[in-house]
Amino acid sequence: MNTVLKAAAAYLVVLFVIRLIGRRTASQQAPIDMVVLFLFGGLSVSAILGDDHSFTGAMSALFTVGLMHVSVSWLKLRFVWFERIVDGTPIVVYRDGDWDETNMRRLRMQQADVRTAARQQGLDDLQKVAVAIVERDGKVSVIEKEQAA
Amino acid sequence: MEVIHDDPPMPQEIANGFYPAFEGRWRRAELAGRFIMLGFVLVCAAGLLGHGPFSERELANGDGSIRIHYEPVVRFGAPTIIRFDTRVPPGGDQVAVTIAKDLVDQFGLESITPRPATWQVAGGGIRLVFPVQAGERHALIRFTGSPAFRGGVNLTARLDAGETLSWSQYAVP
Repeated sequence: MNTVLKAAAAYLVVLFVIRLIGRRTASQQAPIDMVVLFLFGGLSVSAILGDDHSFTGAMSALFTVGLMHVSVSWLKLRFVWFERIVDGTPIVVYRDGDWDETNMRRLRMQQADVRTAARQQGLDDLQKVAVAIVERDGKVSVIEKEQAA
Repeated sequence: MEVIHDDPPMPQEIANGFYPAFEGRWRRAELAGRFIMLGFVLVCAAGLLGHGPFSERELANGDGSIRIHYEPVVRFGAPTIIRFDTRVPPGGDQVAVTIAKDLVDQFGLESITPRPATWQVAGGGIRLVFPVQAGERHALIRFTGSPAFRGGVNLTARLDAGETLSWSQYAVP
C-alpha cells in the first residue's frame, strides 16, 4: 500500500480511535491524555512511512493528511450527521445541583474536572453554577446561575 | 451548500440536554468499536497475526527429510524466520536444498544461517548447498526475511532426493 493510501487510512483510523476512546483525550486535560496523543503521532508516522526515508515520501504523506483534514471539515459542514459522528455533541453533566452520573461515567469525567472549570471562570462554589456542559472538544463549559436566568 | 442549519435556540438546547438520542446511539457504537479494538489487540497479542506465542507452526514433508518451523501469518516488511531441520544423507558431508524462487523474491530473503557454499539455479528454483560436518545427521538452517508481498504466497523446498515440502504464508499489511 503506497504512502498516500497509508496516510489517508491512518488519518481516518486515528480520527475514529480518538473518537472511540472518548473526548477526554482531545481536551488534553491530564498527562495521561497527552501521552495518548503523543504516542498516536509517533506510531502513525512509523506506520505511514515505514522504511521510506525520502523527502518525497514525507511530503506526500503530509499533503495527504492536510487534504484529508480539509475534506473531513467540508463534509462536516455539508452533513450534520457526519459532523455529529466526527465531533460528537455537547453533553450536560451538572444541572441545578444534580450530577448526571451516567453521562459522567460515559465521559470518564470527574467532579474535579467540573470544579476546575468553575474556578477557571472565577466561581468558588458549585451552588453558583446553573449548568456544566462537556463540549465536543472535551472542555467543560460552566454557565452561572445569574447568566442562565 | 447550506452552512447555517436549523438548530434550536441555545437555551432550548441546554434545557433538552442537547442531543441525548444521538449520544445514546453513539454510546452503543463507541462500545462496539472498543470491543473490536480489544479483539484486534488480543488477536495480535496471541500472535494470530504474526509475532506472538501462537504464531508459529511446524510442518514436515511426507518422508520426513525436511521439517520447518514458520509463521503462517506474517506482516509485510516485518522480519520473520523460517527454520529448516533437514536430514543429512547417510555418510554425506553436505545438504542440498532446492527452494522456490519466491522464497528469495516474495519472502524478501535477507540472510541464511549458515551461509550456503554454493547457489545454483535449478528448475525454476534455487539450489543451495550447505557443507556439513561428518557424522551429522541433521542440518539446521535459518532463513530470515522481510515479506515483500501482501496476501498469500505458496513456497516449496526439497532435498535432492526428497519429497517436496509445500507450505503457504499469508502477509497482512
